[in-house]
Amino acid sequence: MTMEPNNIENQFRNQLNEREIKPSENAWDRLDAMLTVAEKPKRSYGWLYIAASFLGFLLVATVFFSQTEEVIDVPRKEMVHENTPGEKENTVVPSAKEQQKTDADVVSQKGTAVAVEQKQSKHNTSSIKTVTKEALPVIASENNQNQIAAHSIINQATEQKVAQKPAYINVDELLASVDKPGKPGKIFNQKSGVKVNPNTLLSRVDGELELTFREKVLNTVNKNYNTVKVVLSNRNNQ
Amino acid sequence: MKVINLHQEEQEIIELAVANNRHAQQKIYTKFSPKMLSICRQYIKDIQQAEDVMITAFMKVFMNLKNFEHKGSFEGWIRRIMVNESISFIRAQKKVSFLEDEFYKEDGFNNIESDFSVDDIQFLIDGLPDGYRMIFNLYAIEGYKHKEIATMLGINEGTSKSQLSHARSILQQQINKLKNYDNGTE
Repeated sequence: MTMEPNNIENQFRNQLNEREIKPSENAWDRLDAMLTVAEKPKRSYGWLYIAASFLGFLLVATVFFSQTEEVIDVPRKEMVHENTPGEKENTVVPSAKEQQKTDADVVSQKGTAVAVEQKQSKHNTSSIKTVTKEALPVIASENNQNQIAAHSIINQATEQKVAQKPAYINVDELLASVDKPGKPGKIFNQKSGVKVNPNTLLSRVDGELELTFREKVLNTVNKNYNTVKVVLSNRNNQ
Repeated sequence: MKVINLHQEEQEIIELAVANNRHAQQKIYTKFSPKMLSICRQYIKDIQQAEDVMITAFMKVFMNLKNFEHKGSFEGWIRRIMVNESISFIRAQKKVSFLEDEFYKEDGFNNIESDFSVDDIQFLIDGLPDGYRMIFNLYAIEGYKHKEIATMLGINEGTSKSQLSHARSILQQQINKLKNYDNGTE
């Protein structure tokens, strides 16, 4: 015996091959519907691509224009603050610091200032870096009391002024430290907490400088655009 | 002459169907669907499912009609699509596993002359497990070689042979039962 199909299998094959089973009535309708669905997308492909590219262009355009508007808005505010002296300077001071204006904070910050004072008297020749670092908390406490003075220090960012400052505050802070003594641990904690602020302040100043440059450019562009617009409208009117 | 005319007619209809002429497509469907449903039914027990598979296969026929080279018979081409669709349907539905055993007897049926009706034959084939039925159909009914079946199903040639051998022995038992039953009643 081999594996070749034998008589009975031949019979099977012949009979099965002759068999026909009529499909149900709606079978063609289903196939017809499937064919229609399959054909449709091919026809509308071209239009789809055009529509999609148009939508994409619109999206890019809106994103671009909304971005330029933002850039114009933000720096304008800060320009105003820089030009007007004194009164509006509290916006430059981080709002988080404003919220932390509790009595304890003021006291402890003053304490740090005293500590700085002592250090300076002991080590007059200590490096400028440490002086600025430790004096800046003083500036932070200054912001609470005298924000104009503090801000001038930040703007100029010179070590000499920073060094002069503690001498000016000296009396008040000494009094405060005498009034509430004996919290050395807290002083150090606050010191570390406040130390972060100078960096952020400085970075903000840097950011402002950059923004002002951008602002200048945008302003000139705007001015030129407006003059062109006016000229064009005049010409059109004539 | 008549054959040539028929051939030309078929070719024209195919060309129209390629161009998505629905009338031509319906002509092809009406001509071949009863035979094709019969083929799908060989593999799939449920007639409704067999019809679904046939419709999907006809979709593929019309989608790929432009690739049909007028070399072989058109019916044979459609038939192959039907068989492939049926197999992939069964394999997708149930994970048909083919035991990788290579034991098979080089042994066919006893050469019984019988007068089974086509329904009897279908009943016997339906009694086979999916994997056996698939290979029995491919080998004994469609006339594929073991090598071709092995590539189609992604199995070893030996596995195909052993599955056929198992299918045959099951069929033999069933046939004997039917015979005895018939003899008993007679």
